[in-house]
Amino acid sequence: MPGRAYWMASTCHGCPARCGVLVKCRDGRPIRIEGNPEHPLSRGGLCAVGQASVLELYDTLRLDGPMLRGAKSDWASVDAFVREQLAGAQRVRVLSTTLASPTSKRVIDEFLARFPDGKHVVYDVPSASAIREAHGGVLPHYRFDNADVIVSLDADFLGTWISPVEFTKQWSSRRAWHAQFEARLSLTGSKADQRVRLHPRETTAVLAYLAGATNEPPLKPVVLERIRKRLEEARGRSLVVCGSKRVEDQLLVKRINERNYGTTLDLAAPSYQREGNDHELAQLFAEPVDALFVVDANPVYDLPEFAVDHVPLVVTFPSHIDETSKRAHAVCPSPHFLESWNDSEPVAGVYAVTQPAIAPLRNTREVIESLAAWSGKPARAYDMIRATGKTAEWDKTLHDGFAVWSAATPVAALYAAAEPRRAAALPPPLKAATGVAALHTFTPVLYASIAMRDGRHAHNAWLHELPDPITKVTWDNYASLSPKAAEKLNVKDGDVVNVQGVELPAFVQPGQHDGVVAIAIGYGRLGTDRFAKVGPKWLLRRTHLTGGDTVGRRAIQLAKYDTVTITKTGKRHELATTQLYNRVDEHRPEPFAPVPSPRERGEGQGEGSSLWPAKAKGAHQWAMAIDLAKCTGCSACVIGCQSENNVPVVGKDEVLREREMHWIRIDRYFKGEGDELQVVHQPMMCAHCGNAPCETVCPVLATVHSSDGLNQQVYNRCVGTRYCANNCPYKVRRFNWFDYPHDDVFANLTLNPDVAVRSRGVMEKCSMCVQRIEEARIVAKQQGLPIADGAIRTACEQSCPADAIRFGDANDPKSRIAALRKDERYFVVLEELNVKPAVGYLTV
Amino acid sequence: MSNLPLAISPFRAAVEHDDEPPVTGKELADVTRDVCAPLERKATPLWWFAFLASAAVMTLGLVAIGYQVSTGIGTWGLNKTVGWAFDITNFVFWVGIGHAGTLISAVLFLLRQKWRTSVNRSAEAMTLFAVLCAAIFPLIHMGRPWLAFWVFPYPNTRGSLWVNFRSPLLWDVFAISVYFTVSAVFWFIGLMPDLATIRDRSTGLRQKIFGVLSFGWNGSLRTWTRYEKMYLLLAGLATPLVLSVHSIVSFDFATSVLPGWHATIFPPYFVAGAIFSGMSMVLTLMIIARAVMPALRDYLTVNHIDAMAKLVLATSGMVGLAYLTELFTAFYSGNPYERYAFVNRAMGPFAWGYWTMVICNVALPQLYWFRRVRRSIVAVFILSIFVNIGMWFERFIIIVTSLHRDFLPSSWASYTPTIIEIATLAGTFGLFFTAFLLFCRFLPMIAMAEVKGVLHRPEDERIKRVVRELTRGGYVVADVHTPYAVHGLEKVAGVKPSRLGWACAIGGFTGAGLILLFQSWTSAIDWGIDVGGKPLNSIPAFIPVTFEVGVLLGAFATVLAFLFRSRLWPGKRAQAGATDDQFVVVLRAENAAFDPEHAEQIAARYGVRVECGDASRRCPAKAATRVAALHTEGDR
Repeated sequence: MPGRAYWMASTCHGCPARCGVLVKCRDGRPIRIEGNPEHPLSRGGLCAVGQASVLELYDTLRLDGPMLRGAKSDWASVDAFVREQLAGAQRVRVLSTTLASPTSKRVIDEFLARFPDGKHVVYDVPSASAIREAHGGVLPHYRFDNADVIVSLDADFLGTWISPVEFTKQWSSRRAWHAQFEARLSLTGSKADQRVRLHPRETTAVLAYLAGATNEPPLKPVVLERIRKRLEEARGRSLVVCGSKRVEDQLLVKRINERNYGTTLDLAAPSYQREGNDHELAQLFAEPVDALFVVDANPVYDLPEFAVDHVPLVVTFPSHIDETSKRAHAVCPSPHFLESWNDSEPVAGVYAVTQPAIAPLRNTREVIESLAAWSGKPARAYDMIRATGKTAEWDKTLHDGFAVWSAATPVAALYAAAEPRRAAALPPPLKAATGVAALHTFTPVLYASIAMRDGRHAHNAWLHELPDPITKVTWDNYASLSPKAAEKLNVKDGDVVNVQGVELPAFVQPGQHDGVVAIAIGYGRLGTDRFAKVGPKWLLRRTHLTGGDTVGRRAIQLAKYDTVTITKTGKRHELATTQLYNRVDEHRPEPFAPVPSPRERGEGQGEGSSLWPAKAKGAHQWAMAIDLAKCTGCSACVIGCQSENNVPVVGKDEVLREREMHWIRIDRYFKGEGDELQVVHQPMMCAHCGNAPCETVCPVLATVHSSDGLNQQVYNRCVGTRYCANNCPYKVRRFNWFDYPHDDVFANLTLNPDVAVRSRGVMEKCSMCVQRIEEARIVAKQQGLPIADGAIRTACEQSCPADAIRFGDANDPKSRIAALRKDERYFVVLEELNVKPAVGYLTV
Repeated sequence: MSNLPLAISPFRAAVEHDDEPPVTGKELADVTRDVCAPLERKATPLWWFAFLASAAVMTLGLVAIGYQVSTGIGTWGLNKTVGWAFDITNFVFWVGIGHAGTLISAVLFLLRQKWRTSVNRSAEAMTLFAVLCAAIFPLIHMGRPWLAFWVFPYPNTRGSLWVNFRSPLLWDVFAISVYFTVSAVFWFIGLMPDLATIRDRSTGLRQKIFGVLSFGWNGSLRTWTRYEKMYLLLAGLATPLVLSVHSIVSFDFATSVLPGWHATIFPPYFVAGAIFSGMSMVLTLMIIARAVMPALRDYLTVNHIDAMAKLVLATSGMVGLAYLTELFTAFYSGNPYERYAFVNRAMGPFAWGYWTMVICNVALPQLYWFRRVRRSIVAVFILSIFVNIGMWFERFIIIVTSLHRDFLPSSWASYTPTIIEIATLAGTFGLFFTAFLLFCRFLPMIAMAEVKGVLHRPEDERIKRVVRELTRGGYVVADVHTPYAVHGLEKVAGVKPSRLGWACAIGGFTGAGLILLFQSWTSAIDWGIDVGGKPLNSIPAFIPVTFEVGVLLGAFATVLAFLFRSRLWPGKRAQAGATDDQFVVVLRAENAAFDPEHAEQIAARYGVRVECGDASRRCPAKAATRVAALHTEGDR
């Protein structure tokens, strides 16, 4: 029906975690992706990458039709070419990242079965192969919600590791005691109760100590003893996870976790979210192949070294021309997941369907259809998925987006089966590195960033402009150095350093190990020079990208090195940071130390005294509470808000001028340094103050108060004096300094028709998703019922993987928000100003 | 040391020399000739050079504004944290400059400072041009300046959706527009006698133009009497107005929540700063004018400069006290944000600006304690430029340092102006000097009628005696035409005091009452909107606009009543009168005893030659009157 939204259940293909999503469509086109609250794994959460992936659907640079030897072609010619090339091929390889799709795996296997030596090789970046190897080829399904004590060694399970949304949901539901050992400051580390800086070389020694293989703590004896004691006390209810790529390390982890299998690690229903096998990948390099099919992967970019030039036939299935497709003989573009049929089984027993929400916008073909065509048994993807037969109730599965059944294999048997190398001798613990590494020599730590992950979303402007939750840098990757290391190298933020041949701007990151340099992978992708067009064009615009250039630099090749040398080049590369001051002192105590509650101060019920008569309140008082103990800073809300409220992308130059437009920002404060570093993430959006300072000062009544407690911004009345923003103590208002059209006009199709697109010269800010409130109000009115608590969920609240955000009616005494507002941890920022904000926080 | 004696001292110093006229050794005709000379000769090359240079800079500013309006406010260096910087700094700076004119015209008038007569005209003109420059910024700082008319409360098709009378920015709209209007009226009213002087000296196009502009002024005694009354009333209105304008400008900051802005000291602090910077700008312009037009040196004497320097010294003390008070308040408040705001000012990234401000505004003006410095043209010129630099930085520091680091460190940011902003600021200087140069070229730079009034010429007494004797002799003095207001003449001639005060009171109170009702009606009755949780009828917030509109209508009523009673209107054909150095006594031939020759004899007793011959030509409208013109030439 025109003008009315409808929702379709589907599955996110932003990464192999395969979260359940609901796709909001208006007038036949998807405009928004949200988490599916009923999904057994993601339970309504959806990360920034997943929510941003709707933008990629409307990318005009997506490939339109197949290519043969670099020239535009048609499907018939490509089919003929591939079939001809395959005639007589012996060794055929399909190389993919984790597909987690039963049908894809089946079709690939059927395709390969025709050849004498056909093999499906899977890799992941970053790899979890060692964990699978330690478990006999399966990946345990981690259950953080069953853990009382969590110890993580370099596993960013709240940020990017395996299935971060699912893990965040689990973690926030219990909020177990959590220790993090890591070299760089990760999102997960920022939430740890105990954080220890750990050089990668020290991992094995720490694991050996925790496993009881040695009683000599390799570092920080007091802390390590306490952690080991905690783990012992919580035996059976603890969980140790480790991001190490060494099997020896993972075997130690397994030994520490021994009693936890069945509670915090599920082998009965293992995970398929990482299926990469590094041994098979290594073998691929070792032997010649006749044909290589690259599915959902970009090995030339993803792997430190990967040459395809000698392979007689290379076929890729990309969305854009990527590094591998440039060297491929046939390029067979595959559709966006919002326009294709697919299925997944991320965890055994959870089967999920991906259904198209729109007819393909480009001339593309699903990978399995291509493979089926070349197998000589052409079939439609839908039919192939039905043929897989994973679910008996197809219609219900399609409606719900998933089907669940339970696997009933006894845990003990599985554990035994997964124990091929259990008896293997433990390696001797490595000697802990002492002191800071030699001058200019650092160990590279390559990590997947929250926004870019492994680089497959490099064409997404929303993600490029998403401030990194820890560094708050946008539009770049950089060489992170600890303050001590930076001092030693005499570099400041933005000084370009040469890291073993990769020139990157330096970034000084507190809480990082002094002996490592941390660099995000996923940057430096081919074709990202397209973003030179992003942002306003004007006289003093500085260009940060030129043709052929890339956003950030590729860094995965540094994985080859144990240590790298860093030299200062003398060049500068400004980093666009959204938060320039990170420290808290007496100036800003609230996020760390709760202010005394109003009751403690003896001030009645938190209603500060007022010179003015109390005003009549409407039937509702919309309010929000954000639990800072739960908020991980993952920034899903930032993208959720951007997608829901048509927030423009402004480009690097404007971010450098401190003019980003996000309606939510996540303030991140540091306290202390080194191991003692404390971090708080505090999402800030319009607080909808009862006595709003912004309203008083607007000369034209463009920002006024509604009877139900909202601070309303009237765009078409605004003349743009910016007085409101100046007088906002929280600085949450955003001004349209220019017109910010999409660099790609086609991307206008993602715009939410329920939210006005703001023109140049007007102020904007969080509206508490007033369009959703109004929608719920209309529905309630039609049904003649009051608006139920929880019926309205703001975009930020809806997809928060940590359930940190709660929205509701403070007038309803039975609502969740009313209860939270009475919580002893509840506080409002800058209470002493008596502006009576509707958005409050629960302290860490 | 208390601040008060400092503030008073320059006035007292001037009062001591009350009997000594500020301008000496000049005949009435000299004044006319000297002041009119620049208008009546061709422009000098120096003028052309200055004019073209100023106009070029103004054009540069126009280009910058055009680019900014067409492209976006993003062409300025502002950001999410610093929403105002150059724009409002320049606005407050220019408004401050614009305070000197009205101060000299109105406040010094009420304080009977005679030296003001030499400088008030150009100071008032400077006020107008400065307010014009100032008014540009609130307009162009808007994101959508083409919708700027939305700040006016006019009935519209949106509800009617009125405006927010609680917003200091709206108070600004009223304060600035009322100030500009009243200053312009005041300036024009002051110009009227001088326009008539020029009209009577010129021929051709200039005569026509000045004829229209001078409203048919002919120096009639009744008109002068009402004029003096009106001037007093306007000065009385303008004095609180000038104080209110910068108070209201300071409310932009003082009523906000930001540390460093939210301070009750702001209104007096801003007013003192405005007078301080305005006086310095007047000094700058006066010294330039003296240099360019040597004839004016007799009118803009070292005494004038000395007196103004004393005022600058006094206001510098006030400003310095305000700086110290701010620091003390921040320290004593115990409010960490407030404390930090001032620590940041003095030691943060803009510390250089803060110390520039302190040195220019507090340290350097202390040199004015020395008489030699006050009387050194070069020293005063240099110091006045420094004061203006310092006062610009004061506004910049108040605005930018408070914004760039306010409550939450996460949003702290910095600010650097772009070339667009710098060009816009330069452009306003271009506009200011262009307008000032045109003013010097086409209008009398010195108030001739007022200077003539303080020359203490013997003609003052002589005309009074003649009129007294003629009245004793049984003649009815119908009118006396004088080139300036001769004080006391109205009593001698038996002219009743003017009742313009009633017009002023009725206009003022009506305006204030109506606008107060209007604000209450729009805000609470017609369309009540919850704004900042305040009561719909926020009477305290309505006071500034009420005051401004009261002043506006009071001034309008006074001026209109004056024009109506005096039968003056634009383009009125002037009847014969006195506008240069002549005095005319009009006698009414009421009875048979009227004897022109006898009247001539009476006048001759005071060494005055009487002309009776061309009565009908001089006074065609009054057939029954005979005219005697008292020439003063013979008395030299």
